[in-house]
Amino acid sequence: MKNKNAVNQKEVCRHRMLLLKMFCMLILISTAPLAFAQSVTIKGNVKDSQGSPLPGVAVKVQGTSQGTLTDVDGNYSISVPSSKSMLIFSFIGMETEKITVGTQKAISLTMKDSSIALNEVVSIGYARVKKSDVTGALTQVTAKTLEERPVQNAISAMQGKAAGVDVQSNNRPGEISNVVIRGTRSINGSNSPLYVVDGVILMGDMNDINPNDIASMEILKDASSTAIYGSRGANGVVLITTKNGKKGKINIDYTGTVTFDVINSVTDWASAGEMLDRYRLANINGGTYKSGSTNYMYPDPAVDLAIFGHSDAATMAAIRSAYDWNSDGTVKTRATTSEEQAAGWPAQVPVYNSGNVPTTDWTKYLTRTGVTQNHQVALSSGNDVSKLYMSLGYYNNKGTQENQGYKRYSVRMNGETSPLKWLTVGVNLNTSLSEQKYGTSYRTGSSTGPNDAYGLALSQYVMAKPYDDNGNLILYPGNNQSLPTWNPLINLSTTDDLTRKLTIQANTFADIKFTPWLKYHMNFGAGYRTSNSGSWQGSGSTTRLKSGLPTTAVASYSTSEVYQYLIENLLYANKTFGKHDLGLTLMQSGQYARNVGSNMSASSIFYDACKWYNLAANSNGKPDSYGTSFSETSMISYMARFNYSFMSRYLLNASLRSDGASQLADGHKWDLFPSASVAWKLHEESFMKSFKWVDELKLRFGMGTSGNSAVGAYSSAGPLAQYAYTWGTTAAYGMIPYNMPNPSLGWEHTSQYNLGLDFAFLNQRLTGTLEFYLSNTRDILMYRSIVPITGYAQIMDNIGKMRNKGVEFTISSKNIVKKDFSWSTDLSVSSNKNQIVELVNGKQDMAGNNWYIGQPLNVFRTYHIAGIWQNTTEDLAEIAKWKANGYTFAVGQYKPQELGTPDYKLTDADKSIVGSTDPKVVLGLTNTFTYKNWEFSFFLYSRLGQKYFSSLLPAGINGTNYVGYGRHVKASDFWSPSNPSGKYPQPSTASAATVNASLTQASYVNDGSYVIVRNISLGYKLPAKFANKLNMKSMQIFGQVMNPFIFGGEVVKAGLNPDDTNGWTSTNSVGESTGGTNNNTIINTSFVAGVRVSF
Amino acid sequence: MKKYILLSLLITSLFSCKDFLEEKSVTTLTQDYYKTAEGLQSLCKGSYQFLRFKSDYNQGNYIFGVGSDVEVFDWSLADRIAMGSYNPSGWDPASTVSTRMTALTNFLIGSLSGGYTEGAYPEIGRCNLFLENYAKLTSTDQTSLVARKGEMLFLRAYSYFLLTNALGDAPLILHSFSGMPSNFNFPKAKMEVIYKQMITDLREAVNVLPATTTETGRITKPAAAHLLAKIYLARAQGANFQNSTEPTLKALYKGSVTTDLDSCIFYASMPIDQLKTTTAYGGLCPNFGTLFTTTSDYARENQKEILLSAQYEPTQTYDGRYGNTLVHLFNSNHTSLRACTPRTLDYGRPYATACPSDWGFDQYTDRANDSRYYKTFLTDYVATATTTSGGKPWDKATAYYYNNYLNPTAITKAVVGAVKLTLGKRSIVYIENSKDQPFDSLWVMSQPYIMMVRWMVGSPNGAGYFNADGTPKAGAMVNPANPVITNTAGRKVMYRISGDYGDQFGIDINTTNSQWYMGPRKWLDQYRGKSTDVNGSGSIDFTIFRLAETYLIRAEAYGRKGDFTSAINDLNVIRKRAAYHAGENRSDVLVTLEPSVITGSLSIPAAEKVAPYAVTTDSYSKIAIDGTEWDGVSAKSVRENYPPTAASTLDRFINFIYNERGRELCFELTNVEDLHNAGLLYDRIYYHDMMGAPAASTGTTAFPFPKDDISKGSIGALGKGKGTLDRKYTFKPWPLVFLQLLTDENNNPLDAATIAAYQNPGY
Repeated sequence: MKNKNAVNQKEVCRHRMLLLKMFCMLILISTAPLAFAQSVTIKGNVKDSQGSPLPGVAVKVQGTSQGTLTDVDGNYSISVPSSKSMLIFSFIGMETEKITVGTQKAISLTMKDSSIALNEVVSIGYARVKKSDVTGALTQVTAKTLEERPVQNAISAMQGKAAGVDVQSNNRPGEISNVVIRGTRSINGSNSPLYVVDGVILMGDMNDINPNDIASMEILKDASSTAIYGSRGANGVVLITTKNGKKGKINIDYTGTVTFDVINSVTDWASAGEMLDRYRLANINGGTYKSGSTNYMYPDPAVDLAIFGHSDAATMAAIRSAYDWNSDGTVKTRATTSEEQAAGWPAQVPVYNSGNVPTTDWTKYLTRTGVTQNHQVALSSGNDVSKLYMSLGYYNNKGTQENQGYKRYSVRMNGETSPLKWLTVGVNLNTSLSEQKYGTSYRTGSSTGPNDAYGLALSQYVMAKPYDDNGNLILYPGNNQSLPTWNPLINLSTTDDLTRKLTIQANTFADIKFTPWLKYHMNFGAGYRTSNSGSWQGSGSTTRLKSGLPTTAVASYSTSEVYQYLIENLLYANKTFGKHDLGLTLMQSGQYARNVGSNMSASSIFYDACKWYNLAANSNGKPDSYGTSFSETSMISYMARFNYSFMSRYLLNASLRSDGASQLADGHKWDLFPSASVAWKLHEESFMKSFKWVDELKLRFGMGTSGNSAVGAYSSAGPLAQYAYTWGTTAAYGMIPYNMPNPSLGWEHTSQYNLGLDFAFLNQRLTGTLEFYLSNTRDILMYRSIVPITGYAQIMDNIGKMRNKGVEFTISSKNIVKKDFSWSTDLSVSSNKNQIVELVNGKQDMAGNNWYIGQPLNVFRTYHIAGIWQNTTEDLAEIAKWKANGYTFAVGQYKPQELGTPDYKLTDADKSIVGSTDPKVVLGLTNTFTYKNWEFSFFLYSRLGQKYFSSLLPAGINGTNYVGYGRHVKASDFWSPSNPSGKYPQPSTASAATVNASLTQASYVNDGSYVIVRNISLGYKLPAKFANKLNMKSMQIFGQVMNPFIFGGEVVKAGLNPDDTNGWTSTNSVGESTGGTNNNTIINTSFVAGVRVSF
Repeated sequence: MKKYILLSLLITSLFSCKDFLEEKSVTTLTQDYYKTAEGLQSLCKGSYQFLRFKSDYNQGNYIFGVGSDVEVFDWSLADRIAMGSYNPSGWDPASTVSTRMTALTNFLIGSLSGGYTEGAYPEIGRCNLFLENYAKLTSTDQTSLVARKGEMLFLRAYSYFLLTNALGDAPLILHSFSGMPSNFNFPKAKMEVIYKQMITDLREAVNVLPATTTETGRITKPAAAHLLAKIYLARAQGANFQNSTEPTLKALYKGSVTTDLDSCIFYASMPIDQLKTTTAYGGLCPNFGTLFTTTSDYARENQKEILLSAQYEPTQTYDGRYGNTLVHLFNSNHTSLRACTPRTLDYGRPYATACPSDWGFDQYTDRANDSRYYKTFLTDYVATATTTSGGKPWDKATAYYYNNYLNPTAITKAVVGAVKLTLGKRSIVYIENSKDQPFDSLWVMSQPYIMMVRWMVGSPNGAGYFNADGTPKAGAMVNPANPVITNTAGRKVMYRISGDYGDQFGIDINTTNSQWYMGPRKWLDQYRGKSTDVNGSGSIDFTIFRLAETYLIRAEAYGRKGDFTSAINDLNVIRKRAAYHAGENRSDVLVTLEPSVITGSLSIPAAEKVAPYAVTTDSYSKIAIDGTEWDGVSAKSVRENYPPTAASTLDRFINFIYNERGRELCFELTNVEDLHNAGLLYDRIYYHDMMGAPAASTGTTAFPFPKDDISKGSIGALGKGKGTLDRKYTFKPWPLVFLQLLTDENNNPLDAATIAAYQNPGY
């Protein structure tokens, strides 16, 4: 990047050099008579940190107007008044150097890159300011960070790079990760931040923006920053600036990566033999390993086949392979040992070796090595009047699961022109076309269960096989027709789904400079997004086969179309009066959005080939159901912002925004969102001057109120619902009321206080930010249950309060800076504490939703387990007391722990909150090493203190009769009479009847903390000489491994992926947590090869 | 200058905000629609939703369809088997998280479901909204909607009826809510007050409703009169408990009006008189079975006997969220038996969540002549799977007995190891025999299908019929002509050992196998899921009232007045129809496999015992009621199995009525509420349902709870109750989640004491 700029600059300079030289000469000549007497000419050469000559560096004599620029080879020559003169070398992206001439005649130097330059410009919403003048809490993510890893969208690239921004992973191609900035505020509404691209609100989603087109992203975190976005700012605002053309010759950049994704299961899976042993043990312990009325205590082929064989050829063959057989078909036996005989075994038992049982690895049939192609070509050019940037991107993620994938084509064009001195007009056009294969997994037999192919694979039986001897798919591997367990491979070719999206967003803008201090800016953005989505279950798919003969296909198709526009009028006034800098921004805007959708579905479709493209191909000649939908919303806003700075040392920023929204009831449509913030640049104070090692020390404080537009269209009006009744077979549609109207519905409000400190020490070697915040959300939109005696069960209302407080810390350190070697470390740490302050009826918990006052939103509340019942007189007496109340427990199974005085009943009072899905600490750590042209980096990401809710009990512990997947477990981990310290209950088929199902959940809460090595990257940049020979300005090649390792506790060891938290907060209808095992339980490890070329 | 022109152009592009922010409702209607006659028509149609409450989904199914002495709770197998039908974790209202029962009652009170607010109070709200808007209409519009008004009055009364049947006293709301009230202070009204309102509403409804309708399913005068009669009867029943010392009985008091029984008879006579000449059976459908056929023309739904039914239709476009879920509820799990009967449209989708108790079968005291037993239960299945894998195979003993004794002339011999089932042939038979008529186990196990019998007996002295080498023991075989072993001396008699795996069914040894029981055929819907989806919604109508019940209501009222002659006349209308009529065929299971028929304890004329078992003589005379059924001493009276608490003739008569209601109406979701209103629910479960009754109960002398000869410890049949029935369960609990939403007049949440006072007795 740095080098590219430099080379780029070189090209630019060749053209401008003549003009500039003449201009400089003119200045020199004009000052020559004054300076002539003592003047000295200094010559030298300026290089960048890579050793390439740096053209265009401004060389200035301090305190004079004398100056020059370096030429294409980095050489300069300048006349200085005296040996006391100081030369100032400055160049964008480099640290400014000041060198006193002294006796030197030649001054050559290598300029250092400035990673955090105080003069950098950042977006703060409706304006760009110098970073040093920022008064609110914001984090910048640069193009360099976005380029670190090939990512589907820029959201993934933010993970661990911006303190306070919690980005959760989502492994499914085409899905967008969940982003929560500074904790959860809204319960029913969205917690996603507002995305603003080049000053205009993003009308599609972040998948529409090619991350390679982004020049920088600023994340506004506190309300003093976000309040200027008023009713939409509460969840934070992400401002995205896309790349633009630069003055100079045409520049062409190509970036391409090829990624090989492989599924990385961290589970140590048990072999089929181990699982068979475990299931048998459970049956023996449960008294169900028997033939007729005879209980067997040892492996017997006939009993095995009867209980586990299920007349399934593969399973029976697998079981038989564990035994030795005589030629006459009888089983070989062996004499038993005396211990075995003491345990009640007969003199001879069958020869058995579970190690001979073959294991079917179902996952290999449903997964593959995914290949992700990511290519982008960008062109930029510019002259004094116009600038242009164009890019074409292609992203294709062929997922690791056979039925998933995501593909995107994106085109961007940014251009602007200044036909007149006072006028600049431009356009930003972004188009994206995407296709997602979601990979719906059609479950059979149960409405819950795995939701992807990998999960389905793990729900199969390890001794069963997908294909019979003739290579045909077996319908029910394991012959479980009553559950039923279908062969998931069937659906790979008999079901399909596809979502196509086309998004076009075009923004045009005009800038008019009336006077140097007064500017008018207009934005007009229009967005159009259409998406269509089809899903198909062919006649041969499992769900269709299950419906009985004859089987026919079902399919559905839906479309949606969003049309939006936005007009903004902005007036900027900036003026300096002595030490006072004043600025005023006024804004007026109007927005409109219109959503139209349709959906249809059909069953009994005659032929499979048409999928969802001919929904009339059934005996009705039309789809079974169809409908259309419509909604429109509009909003008008006014905003004023005032900023003031005194001596560039004391800064004040204040804003006020007023929003009016259509979806709110009459009389409640308008709302005000104020904010104010101050900053004090301590390093500018004279008393700080003595601390030479302090480059920057800025204290900030801000407060403000922002809103969240969680109110859907028409939600305040209390509309009627259509109910279909019938007279005989004649339709009798009726309209009945369903929600109580609420005319006083309004926005959710979040007020936030933020205290921040920015620092830079030791000549920028150590830079960072520390932030503390407290945010209070009120008027939370919730469906409030109302007494149904009113005729209505709920009403949408502004109730509830939520608090988030937290701390964020970011530090960047250049540990080693040498000519050929450097090492830098970036660390970001954040911690947020979320707390429900008030709910419906004030202080009352809403247990039905699993919401408790004073607790985080997503908690787990369960019974408690006090270990395992032992075979002691005390425990047996306790078991008897439970038994008297109707609770059956058994030795070797979980023992409940009552809270308070034991009454031998498991009641709600025995449950308590045991954790939350929220991590206590999120951190990201990047280390970068450079040696000459090599760069090596690795990035660690960690979420600590989050709780995961799901059973980690080894599968098979409850017996049943179908041998499925399970984790490898040491025998000593299971409780048994001879091993009373085993941590898991004794495997037993009787446990289902002896363990209260809700009690078992107490074992479900586990620490989900983890550290993942997100990527390890190695890059090499071709020396400029070689690159030039290849007609390139620069070339960089790199390779990396993404997600190679994950470390964590029980959850990670159990083979679950706590990095993907989708579904963790699911609850059932009575508010009990249902846990997150329904979602992706895998990590994709990826191997990346990439190249960046600039022409 | 140019830039200023440009600017002024742009400034004019500012919006006129008033119009821009106006929200126009494009796709939705608001409540203003109800100011028109058209809107009220529409509101009335939508309000028919509540007629589906009982049949729609679990909330209605469970509250009203299980928990009587004949229909047993089976929420989840583990619950019923391990903890009995009633248990605190299922019923506890104190939990802030709703338990199963409170979740169900919450639905009855009112809850969101599938985009609609369902339940009694939302329905009452719609009725109130209708009546308020109706009052404001022009007189022309009012006239055009007068029948609709009658329907809405009926629906309001029906809503309060279901509500009070489950919960007792409840808030009485007679106005609609147009916005949030200032508080949620809704004290309960006494049932006495609510009943007065229901009676007022229904009397007006009876007056304004037409006698018939062309729109199938509309509420008519007979339906309203039937409900009114039922309500008068319920009030008369409750009057007896005014001074009861038992709180759950005292809570049944609904006022005491001396003319109630006469009013009941008056209004019950209305539909009876209107319809009694429409058939030869007093207006009843001639064949009991016709009411429950699954013919594709849905002929069952058009019987005149049906006074009101919740409507469903086969395309399922207008069937609400779930359709008629009763088509799944009571079905036994035929798929987990090795019977080659996978889940297909032929037989029900096995929810296996509610099943009959033993008394549910035994209440039919003369199965040979009362056709309702074989027309109510699905006694036998036919193999529907072509696959032979997974089917039950012959073993040495059964193949030998089949080939040599049971069917020695068979062309197809039984082969050891081969599947014994044949596609299209009988695959399962359920026999509910008595302990004194057990089948021999070898005979049962050797049938070429799976035979599930309640009582089975082992070989003499447990010696077995075969030697260790598989050869038969000399002279020890069962006489295939006489498999019922009436002399069980020296033999073990076993309760519910299935003909499949040899484990118990219907009792607590194995939760999986306990999904097997003989379920009813009343709701079997072969056209569910639009005839394609075996798991799909049911589309047959749900009968709410039928004329047979009207007769039973009137009979009870007559009997309570001491007029047994009139009561017997009404009961015999029921019996006349229940008999086997000339021209129909008896079931071959009944004639060939029913032990009481084999032994002759129940008689069928010899001529009618020849296939196809055609009936030539109407069997009515065998089952006609003469009054000895409740004399307390006759054999007939003993077979009626009255709870010992029914001490007087009137008590036994009333219990007889509920026995007859059970025989006629079980699985039609009226038993629980009717037994409850009659004050009989607790006693009858206590003495009739082993799985519900507490351990203190051993059943009755005539029908003691079964006891297995083979001890299995604390599991199995022990001769005593295995449940945790308590008197409080006769009322359902108010959910705490509901009570916590209530406030006092000042909008403060209720304190614990007030909440406790609101709750029903015992909870």
